[in-house]
Amino acid sequence: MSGRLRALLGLAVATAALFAAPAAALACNGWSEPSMEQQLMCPVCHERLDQSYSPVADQIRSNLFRWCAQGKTSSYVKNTLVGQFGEDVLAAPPARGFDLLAWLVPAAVLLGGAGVAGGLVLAWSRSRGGPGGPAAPGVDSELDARIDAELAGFDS
Amino acid sequence: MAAVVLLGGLVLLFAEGLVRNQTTVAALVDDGQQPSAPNIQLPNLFGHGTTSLTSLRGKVVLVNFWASWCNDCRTEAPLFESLQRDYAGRMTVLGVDASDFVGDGRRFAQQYRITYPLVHDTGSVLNRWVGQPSFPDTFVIDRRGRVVAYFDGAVTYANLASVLRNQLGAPA
Repeated sequence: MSGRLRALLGLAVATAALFAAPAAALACNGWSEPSMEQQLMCPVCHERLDQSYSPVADQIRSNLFRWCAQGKTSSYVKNTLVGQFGEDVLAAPPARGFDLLAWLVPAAVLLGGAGVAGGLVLAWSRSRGGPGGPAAPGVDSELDARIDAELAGFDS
Repeated sequence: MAAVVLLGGLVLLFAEGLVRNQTTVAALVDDGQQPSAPNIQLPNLFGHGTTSLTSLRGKVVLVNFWASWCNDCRTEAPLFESLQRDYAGRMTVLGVDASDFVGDGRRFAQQYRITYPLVHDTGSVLNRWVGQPSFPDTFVIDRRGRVVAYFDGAVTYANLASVLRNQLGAPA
């Protein structure tokens, strides 16, 4: 295959992907089955739905297919599943009550980490002793005099 | 300070998870205990209203957690129906359709002509009783409300009948 033909083929594939992705996202009234499966958990085996092959996961998938065809909204799908299986069916815990910790703790860790990293960078830049940094320590005057005396001995 | 609070929180969460897993009804029975059955109050699978375990007190109760997608539950349904008939008035099955679509559970019940009380559970009661369910899961509760047996997975008529004979004597 020539280089030009390969480049044309690549361009065609990229263009098709560009148009196909939004179409898939909208295929189910604003959501897609693969992305919805990533947001759900198998309620029995506690694996993400897109990674679970349990019978209940298959049953949920067949309902997703049906709801997609019926044009149900994403919130309808999630609310219905929570009604049948409880909130454990959602991969992301709801941002309220005790589950709020699942959102707050990573955010706090990120902020804390950023603060520590910033502090370390600041301390490092100061230790390099730029124009505003502390002056390099001077040579001991007694040692200075001794070196001068020894150098003078070599000269003579 | 924040790090200490965070670490403490994580340790508490871990400990709570451990305690919860160890104190399921199934774990206690497996440990040789006969704990008091925690009350179950769940919406009926058909019609309105709820059914509670306390409303069945005075009878031996077989609590059977099942789901329409569970193959072994298909084998068990006729078995429970015949036990319900054989021990009528002295024992009842309480079928808990758990981690299942209500519509699918209803179709299953109609297909197997189940006449004993059926309720629907989103999975929270099942988790409290079993922890990691194997589907089906069955408990035997005596007249005083103590859990005297637990079956992890499918049961046979012979298994259950021997427990029921201990509790009730021979079938009527």
